[in-house]
Order: sequence, then C-alpha cells, then structure tokens
Amino acid sequence: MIKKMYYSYWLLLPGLLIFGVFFIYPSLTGFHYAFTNMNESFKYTRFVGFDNFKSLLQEEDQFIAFKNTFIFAFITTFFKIVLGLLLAMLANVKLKTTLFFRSMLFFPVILSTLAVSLVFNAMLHPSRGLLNVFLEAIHLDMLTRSWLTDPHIVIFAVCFVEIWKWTGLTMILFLAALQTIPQELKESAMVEGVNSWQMFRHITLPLIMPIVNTNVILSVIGGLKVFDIVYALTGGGPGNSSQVINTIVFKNFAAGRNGEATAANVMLFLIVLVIVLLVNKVLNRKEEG
Amino acid sequence: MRKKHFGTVFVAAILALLMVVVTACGSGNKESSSSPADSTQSASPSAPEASPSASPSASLEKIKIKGIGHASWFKSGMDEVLIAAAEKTGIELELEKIPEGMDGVNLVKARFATGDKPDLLFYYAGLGDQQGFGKMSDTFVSQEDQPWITNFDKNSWKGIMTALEDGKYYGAPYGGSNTSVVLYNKKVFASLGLEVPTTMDEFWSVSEALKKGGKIPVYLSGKDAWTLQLPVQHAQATPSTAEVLAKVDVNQAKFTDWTARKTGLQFLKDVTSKGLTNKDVLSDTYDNAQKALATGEAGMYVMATWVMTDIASKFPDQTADIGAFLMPYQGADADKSYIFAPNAVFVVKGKNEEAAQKFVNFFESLEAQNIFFGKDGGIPAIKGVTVTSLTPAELEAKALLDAGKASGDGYVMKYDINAAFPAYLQDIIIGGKTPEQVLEAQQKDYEKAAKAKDDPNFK
Repeated sequence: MIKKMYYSYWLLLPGLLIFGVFFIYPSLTGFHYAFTNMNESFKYTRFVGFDNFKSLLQEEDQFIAFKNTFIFAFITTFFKIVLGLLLAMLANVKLKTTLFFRSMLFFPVILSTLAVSLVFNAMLHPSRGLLNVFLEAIHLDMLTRSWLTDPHIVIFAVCFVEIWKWTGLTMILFLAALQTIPQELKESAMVEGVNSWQMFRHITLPLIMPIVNTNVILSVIGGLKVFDIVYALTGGGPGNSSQVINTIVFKNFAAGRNGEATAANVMLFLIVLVIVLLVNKVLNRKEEG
Repeated sequence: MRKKHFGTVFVAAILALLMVVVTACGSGNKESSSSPADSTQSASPSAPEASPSASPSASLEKIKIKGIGHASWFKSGMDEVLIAAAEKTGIELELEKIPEGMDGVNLVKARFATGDKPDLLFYYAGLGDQQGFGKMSDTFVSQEDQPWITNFDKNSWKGIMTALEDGKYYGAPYGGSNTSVVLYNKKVFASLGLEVPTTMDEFWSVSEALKKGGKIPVYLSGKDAWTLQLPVQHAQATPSTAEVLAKVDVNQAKFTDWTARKTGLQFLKDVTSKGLTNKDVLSDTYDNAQKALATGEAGMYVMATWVMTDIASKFPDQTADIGAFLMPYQGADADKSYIFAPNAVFVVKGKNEEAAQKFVNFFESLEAQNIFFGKDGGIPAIKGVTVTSLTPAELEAKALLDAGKASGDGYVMKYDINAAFPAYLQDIIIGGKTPEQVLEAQQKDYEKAAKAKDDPNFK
C-alpha cells in the first residue's frame, strides 16, 4: 500500500510571511488610514470618521473624477472587447499577411505609455496636429476639434488613445481562444447549413465565452484603475476636466492630504470589487447558460 | 546529432561570455586610462583656475550625491559648476530633473512623503513646516552657521527665504532673484508705432493694434499651466497682499477678499474672452512662447525675467529686441513688479548630509557663483559676484527694482495649496470657473489644509 506523504505546513510560512508583510498588512493599514487625518510624514494620525469620504464626494472637482472614471472604464471596455473580437476574427483568417497583420495590431501594446502619450499629444494638437491637419486637407474642417483641451471631449480623446493602445491585447487573447475551437465542429455546422451569424452566435461565442469574461474583467479593472495615460496625456486637465480617481489620489498625496488620498484609494478598491463581482456574476451566468 | 548541436551552442555561448568579459575589462581600462587625461583637461583655459591650495582631483575622495529639481533650473551655468565641484571637492552631484510646475512639485512631495529623499533639494525658497516636507528642522540642515552665509544679506531676504516657524535659513540661494514683467518685442512695437502702455485702457488699445497688425497680442502658454500664474502674481505685487494673507492665515479674511489676486484672475478671463491671445492657449507651451516672442510672432508675454536665459541661448540674435515693462494693472505709476526670491538648495538630513553641505558651501563660494552667473541670468544674492550675463530685458527689469518698483513675496502662506492653482487658471481660460469661483475653491482648499493640521483658527 502506498502511503501518501504530505509536505509540512511549515513550508507555507515563508510565503505567507511575505504575503502578509507586503500585502495583507499594507491593505489593512490602508483601510485604517482612510479614517484618519494623516500628515505628509505619515507620523501623526487622528481618527476623523467619514470626513475624508464626505470631502471626496462633496467637492465638484473630485466628483468629476468619479464620473470620468466610470465613463472611461465603460467606453474603453466596450470598444476593446468589440474591436478586439473583430480584429481577432480577421487575424484568424489564413492569409499571406496574417502574421504581419497580427504583429502590427499587437505592436501598440508593447509601446511605453509615455511615448504613446507624447506622440498623441503632438498628433492631437488643435492647429499643428496631424489629425486636424489631415481633416482640413480633405475639407472636413467641421470635424476638427481641440481634442485634448476642450473640456467636453477630452475624456473621450483619452479613451480613444487607451483603446488604440490596448485593443491588441484583447485581440491576442480572443485569437488564442478562437484557435481552440475544433475545426470539425465548424465543418459539421457548415454541412448543417448554418450561416456566418449563426456560426458566430451559437458556436464561436459560447466557446470563447471564458475569454470574453476574462477580457471584460481585465478591461474593467484597468479602466477603473487608470492613471498613466491620463496623467501623461492631459495631467487631468484642462482644469480638472479629465481627472480620474487615481489622479485625485496622486493630487491629494502631493497636497499632503494623505488621509483623503487613502480614502480615495479605498473607495476605488471597493468600486472595483463591487463592479468586478457583479460583472463576473453576470458573465458567468451567461457562460453557464 | 543533438549532442553535437548542444556542444556547438555551448562553445558559442562560452565564447560570447568571454567576449563580454574581455570587452568590459577593456572599457574599464579605457576609463582608468582616461582619468589622467581628464585631470589634465582641468588645467585647460576654459576650466576655472585651481587655487594653489586646492589638492589635485586624483587625491580627493570621490563622493556621489543626488539632487532633485525642476529641469529648467539646470542650465549651462550649473553644468559648469558641477564640473568644477567634482574637480575641487570630489563631490559628484547627480541631478534628477523633474517636470516644471505642479507636476514636478507633486512628484517631489510624493517622494518626501514616501521617504525617498535626495541629498539636495532644489526648490522654492521660504518653505515652512506645513508645506509638505515635514518639520523643517527635522528634514533639512540649518544654514545659519554655514560659512557662505557671511557673504549673504540675511536681513534683505528675511521672511521671504526663511522658514515661517523659526525664522531660520534652511535653503541657500540657488540662482538669482527674478521679477515679473511684461516682456515685449520692441521691433514689433516700433513697426506698428506702439508705445509701452501705462494704463489698462492703453494696454487693451495696444493689444487691439497688435491684433490688427497680424500679431498675437498676449501669448499665453497654458499647456505649461504654471506659466498662467505669472499675470496673477504680477497683480499681487501690492502691499495689500501681505495684509490680507496674514488675516487669511488666522481665518479673519477669505481668499475672496484678496482683491489683488482677483485682478490677475480677471485679466486672464478678459484677455481670453477678448480674443487677444494665441489661438491654442492650452496646447501652447513655454517653449512656444519664447519662440513667438523672440521671432516677433507675438507682441507681449507676461513672464518672469528667468525666461531670458532660455531666450538668450536659443535666440541670441533676437535677445536685444526684447524689452520689459510693468503691467499697468493700477496705472498712475502705482504698479510694482513681483519679485521672486532666488530659488533655494536645501541640504536634506541623512547619510550624505556632510557631502551635500560641502557641495552647497562650494556652490555659494564666489568662484562657483562667478561661473554660474557668467552663464545664467538672474541677479545674484551672494555679495561680490563680479561676472553676470544680464540681457537688455533683465537690465530694464533691474532698473525697475532699483527704482523701488518691486514687491516681494513678503508673506509666505502657512499652508501650501498652490498645487491646485494652475488647474484653476486653466479652468478660467476654458470658462469652467469664474475668478470668484476660483477664489472660493482656494478658500475651501485652505480650510481643508488648515483643518487637516488641527489649526485652532479653523475649527
């Protein structure tokens, strides 16, 4: 009879210790600090109840940041999924240029956000930028805009850059999923006489649903936690019109309002948690159905 | 077959590794062989002459320290001082250049908040305990007993460069003092037959004439939002500023009572709404403004004299075309320019504080100051500097100072809420906020900062 040998629980200790020190402890203290009046040297704290949270929700400039974060997360998730899926289906077609096509579409993902922001800053300049110059050249002057300085459209311009940069990643994940669909299944469906839409709706989509789920979750989390692209492209401006939660966190830390900054971070954590749980539940139901 | 293939790869890998090692050793030799050459270079005519007592650089212990400051603060003058410091003191200062304005301020404050501190902080003078760097005496080395301070007029800069709480000097002057002015292109004015305005009515007439003449009347570089502060700070150069701020600090007055600031904010609103600025204010940068002013594309630019160092290096042939005058906010010869104290270099307490202080003492020596001001503009705060490179516009501005037409910071606010100010100014440009709303928002920011520190006046 073979006796099962188990590793000792002691072996878990180093890993748990590191996890505890670098993740559990900072997370818990973060929750604590959100209710305190912490100064810039992180030394003095006083319990202030929900004051930090109230302050975040009452100020108009900070409220804009919450609104922008939701707009950004929704728009970028939607387009990254839709465009990613379309591009993956195109990239799944066997052509001589398929590999080149896939590489080109994935290329923006590997570029530095700062470099992308600098390029788009130049391209979206209202009078010297490539986009407006091109629109004027083809006599579509009425479409030219101050893309990054008009407070009404700036957040959408930032969304566009984010979608351009990250759609390649969702495409690659979709492509991997598409390539796992057995060819025989498609062939037998074609023999049965299904059209392209039916094929997509009843065969492709259900089989790639786990990846749709993953992509949506990743995009939602990425969208809600956005910081780098906004900071590099607009710095949250003009004025405060493109602030998002994480730029507010940064701004509050810089102003020495560490308690408020931590409170904003805690709110962001809770928002991400709730939305991701909800999205996950809905998508899992669809996946099972 | 596979074994044979593995053998080839293995041998190739070993060879590649050997090449890397040999190359590395080779470059190491090059470095060491270049050292004597470097020390001979120090005797070249361009390098400052070493005093007989100065020990040769080879015998000095080399110490590397780190400094941080806005990128535009480090120009050719500082480059030459760094070389001289390494030769004469053995201290190699590595500078981290951070973005201008509030982006850089936010970054450096976040660094201090997280304990990631440099050895030297190049920052604005007159810091206090409540401005994001902790208690001054805990964070920085006091400069009161340092040798350089005997060659510095402590009384003139008291209250401006000293800490609010204990009145001590923690920062040593970095660069010269500057002043806010309207820089204008004399050739453009002459070609359109325009005179320097002395009242606001005249200012608007001149601006309209410039516009009719196909020029940008007033250039605003709003992409670099910090530059929008200059017209406002210029308006604040009145004795009433210190009076109202002293009351704001103890909650006996509000920001909305600060009429001088409101005048500056209103100017930004008016100049934009009248269409007297460049078309893409919020996309145009500090660099764009320098070019526009120097080349005559723009007529006027409200800025401080420090911009002339950049213009002189980029547009040496046009530097003499630029003059300076006071913005006639009040008219009747009552206006003053806003004088900016020299920036400061702070020695951060820590393991390298001794070396950092040694660098500062060298920097403030006449030898280093002459090197610095021989290249960079600004009016030196250290006494006895004989080499300066002031442009005509700076000399005109200096004449204003000499005639007593200047008002200094005078009063440092207890709580630093300026991080949000440039964004508010952008808000005025885009019509998102009125001047009154900006002042109300600043009052809220101030109250919040005061309450965060448990200030008894703001319960």
